[in-house]
Parts: sequence; C-alpha cells; structure tokens
Amino acid sequence: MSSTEQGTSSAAPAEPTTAPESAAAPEVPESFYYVHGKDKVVHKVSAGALQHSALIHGMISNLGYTEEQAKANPFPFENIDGDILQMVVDWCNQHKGKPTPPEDTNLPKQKEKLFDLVLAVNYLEIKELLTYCCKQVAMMVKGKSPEEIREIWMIPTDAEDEAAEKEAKKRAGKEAAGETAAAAGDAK
Amino acid sequence: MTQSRFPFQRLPYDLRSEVLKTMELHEIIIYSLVSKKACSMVKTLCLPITSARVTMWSHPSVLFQIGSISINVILSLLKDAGSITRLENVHRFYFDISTTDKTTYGSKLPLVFRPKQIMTLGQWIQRICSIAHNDTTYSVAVIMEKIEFEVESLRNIFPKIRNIEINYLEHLHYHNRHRLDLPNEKDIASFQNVLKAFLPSVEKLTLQCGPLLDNLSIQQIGMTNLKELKMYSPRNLRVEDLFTFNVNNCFIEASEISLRDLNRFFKLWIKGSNPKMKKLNICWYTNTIPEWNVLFKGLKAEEVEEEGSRKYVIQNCRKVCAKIECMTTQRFPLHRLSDDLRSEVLKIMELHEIIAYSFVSVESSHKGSVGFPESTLRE
Repeated sequence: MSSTEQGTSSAAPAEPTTAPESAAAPEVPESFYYVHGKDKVVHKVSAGALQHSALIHGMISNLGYTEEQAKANPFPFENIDGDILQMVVDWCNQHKGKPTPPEDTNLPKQKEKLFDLVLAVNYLEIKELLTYCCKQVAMMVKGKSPEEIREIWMIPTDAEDEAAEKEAKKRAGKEAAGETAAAAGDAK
Repeated sequence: MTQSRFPFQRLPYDLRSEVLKTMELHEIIIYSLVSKKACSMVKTLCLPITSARVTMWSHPSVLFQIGSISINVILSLLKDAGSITRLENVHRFYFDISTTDKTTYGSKLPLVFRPKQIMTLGQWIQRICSIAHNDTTYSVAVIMEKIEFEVESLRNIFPKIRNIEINYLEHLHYHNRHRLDLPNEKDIASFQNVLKAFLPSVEKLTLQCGPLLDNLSIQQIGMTNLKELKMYSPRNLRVEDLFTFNVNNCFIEASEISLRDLNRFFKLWIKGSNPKMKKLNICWYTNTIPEWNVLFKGLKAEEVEEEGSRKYVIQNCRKVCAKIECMTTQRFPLHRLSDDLRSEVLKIMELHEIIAYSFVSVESSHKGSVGFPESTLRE
C-alpha cells in the first residue's frame, strides 16, 4: 500500500445551504479512492481525477463509500496491467477538473503500450482519453498505402483470412464430432 | 528505424470503428483496400457518400462525392498491362488516390501505390464500389476510347447498376474523327456490347453520340422500361422513334428533329400515344429563329404565363395536361457595339468574367483591356 490517509469522506450529498451569509462556505476536503491493477499495487486517486472515468464514477456514486471503506476496499481492475493503470491514473490526475486540449502531449508515446492502453481506457470509460488514443492509433497509418497499413496494423491478407476461417471451421467440426462421440459413449 | 506495429484487428469492433471515425475520409477509403474484412468494416460505417461515379476507360476511376469533398480513385494501367477487354484479366496497374474540397479549393497530395494483393482490375473496382451504401447514387460512364469491353465482363463487375452513360464521343476524339463520320463495324460492335450488358437492368441511360444499327436501334432502346433516357447527338434519330418511347423522362440533343415533326409528335400524344412520358426535353443548335407557330399548329394550345415565362398547355384524350415551354438561348451581338459602350459593359462585370471574356478571341482579349485603369486590373 503506497497511500497515506488524507481528508475525510465526502461521499454524502451536500445539504442545501441555510448558513448565515457572513460565514464563508467551508472548503470541502477532497476525498480519495483507491484502485489496483493486475500487479496489486494500489494507487490513490482523488475523486476529482476519477470523474473522468464513467465506470469508476458510477461505482463511487452507487457504493457511497467512506474514506476508510474506500481504503479498505480498493477497486480491483485485474484485467489492467499495473503500468497501464499507472498511466491512466497519471493522466486523470493531470487533467483533474480541466477540459482535455485537442492535442494532448501528456499521454505516453510508447506505441507498444497503446493497445493495452486503448483497451483499459475503453473499459474504464474515459471518453476523452479514448478519443485521443484512437487518434494516436489512426495517426500511425496517416499517409500510408494499404500495404503499409497492413504491415503497421498487422492485418492479414484475404488469403490468410480465408485460411484461418477454414482452419477454424475444421477445428469446430472436429470438436463437434468429439462431443457427439462422447455423448454416444455416455449413452452406452 | 523500425516501424511500430499495432494489432488493430484484435481490438473489439466498436473500438476499431472509433479509430476509423477519427480518420479522414480518403484515409478510410484507403483502409478499405487493405482486405475484404477491412472493406466490410468500412461499409458498416455508412460513409455519407452522396454519389459514386465509375468511369471505365483506359484508366478506370471511381469518383466518390461526400458533401463538398471529392475523392478520386484512379486505377492506372501499366504500359505492359495489355488489353483491357476482359477486366478479369488485368492485373498490372497502380492506384492514384486524390482528394479535393470544393469549399476550400484545397487538395491533398495524391497517394500513388501498386497493390500487392493479387486481384484483377474488375475485383478492385467491385471492392471500391462496395463501400458505398445502398442509398448512394451510382453511375457508370463507359468511354469508348481504344478499349472494347465484353458483355459478360461488364455484367460481372456491375451486376446491379441502374445509371449508365456510354460515351462514344471521346472515342471519336481519341481517333481524331468527326462525330458525323461513319462509324466502323468494330465501333458499332463495341458500343452495342456495352449497351447490351446494361440495358436489361438499367433505369437511367445516357448515350453520347452512339452508333446504332437495326439490330439495336434507338427505337429498341426507347422501348425498354427506362426511367430516364438522355441522348446527345444520336445517329439516325427519326420522329417515329419518339412515338414508341416508353420512358418517363427523355432528353434529346439533336438536329434531326424539326418543329413540324414535333408538332406531329404532340398531335399523337393528344390522341393518347406515349402515356408514360412525363417530361420531354429537346434541344438543338440553329442559326435561324425558330418559327414556333409551326410547332403549335392544330394543337389547340392555351397560352399561360408562369414565373415570368410563357408556357402553352395542351390536353390529351385522357384529360392529362402537358405544359410546353419554348426557350431560346439569349444572344447579344456585343462586338457590334462601339468600343466605349463595350467597355462600359465590361466595367460592370466581375474581374474573373472579364478574364474569361478575354479568352474568347484575340479581338476580345485586346478589347477586354480597353478602358480599364491599370489599378483596376492589378486588383
């Protein structure tokens, strides 16, 4: 656990203000939540930063966790690699309460991680980051010929697709035959 | 430096779709050429293609119109590609894809490449055309240049085409021949081959100066169930052909039909012939002022004024009314005006119009500059 306790829970909805005019509105302390990926490393993220993720935002609203409960039960994202989750958390922190600029330079440029990042961002429903990631993917083939696109995006040729389909059919046929044989054996 | 790679196909469908949506239209079209699956994917995006025009000539092309953007995909044959008679046999060509935007007059640098996938010219044309959705207005223009197409080959490539233009005029230009020159048998055979390929399924047909003979005459074409027939400089057109036409809209640009013939046509229409025809537009070039009385003789036409122009209404035996509008292109003998008057006319014209006028003749280029202060022309 790398987190430190800060502030108190603010999960309860704000009451309508009927306080005297002279008193300034008290500053609401920021609440924090905890998430971990496949590597189990827990990341502490502010509620403001998590607003970007429709999935986590929905979970927070539905669960109504207190700070202590949130710390004790970090949101598990077992399908997301630790480093990818770190990237996403960093991005959310950098863009906390700010609109995303059209050209976001804060996103890591490693193309090797882009695939996992796109999947993670899609899963976490971070719309702005997803749009940006999709643009990054599209930029990879800008000005390229179909053959270059095939190379970069690893798209099989029609012949390869057909061969793969045939193979899949053959496999499905074998599996079906195996199942029938097994069923016949059971009946005997 | 190694090119980084991305397993695009491993993305779920909706994410692939999101990526494609961030791309420019011509890039999406280029992506559709990658594979059959990529092409189907693009088809599901339902690109807002308003029209697609395929031009079949020695360098076949497909022009997509998407709003103000035109994307032209040209399949240029290599010199050693051989004959283009059967589209299924041609493999040696390269792609040239360019984009222009009418609103910004901007164009993107063309992308030129040779496809590595072993597919014939016909298969490529089919694939490119397949990305347009069902509502796209599709048309095929066949320019009879130096090529001859086989009926089967064309039918295979365009099985459902509804809008076709067959252009023989370009063929004449290519061979430096006049449109009134007698066509040779080979030309007739080629033209008729193309026509035969499409005639059973076509709804809109445009013929540019086509050589037709008795085995496939204008009458036979007109008798097919067409929604629209346009004929430019048709050979051997007789008014008797018009009587048999079974088309909704007909446009003819010809010099063979006289006003007397048209008068006969309208008289027969009044008696009930050509019940399907909704619109007939005939135009011709003449140096004499038409004698419209000849056209209306015995038609009992009523004159009505509508939207500032004169029209004549006739009624047939089924109480169906038709409006006849006679129009002549306005002419004005500008060069018979004095120099200063002509200058006055030119002064109120836009600069680009004056420049266009200067190309009309040597005299106009000289007169076009008369009377304009240098500062005006510099603007």
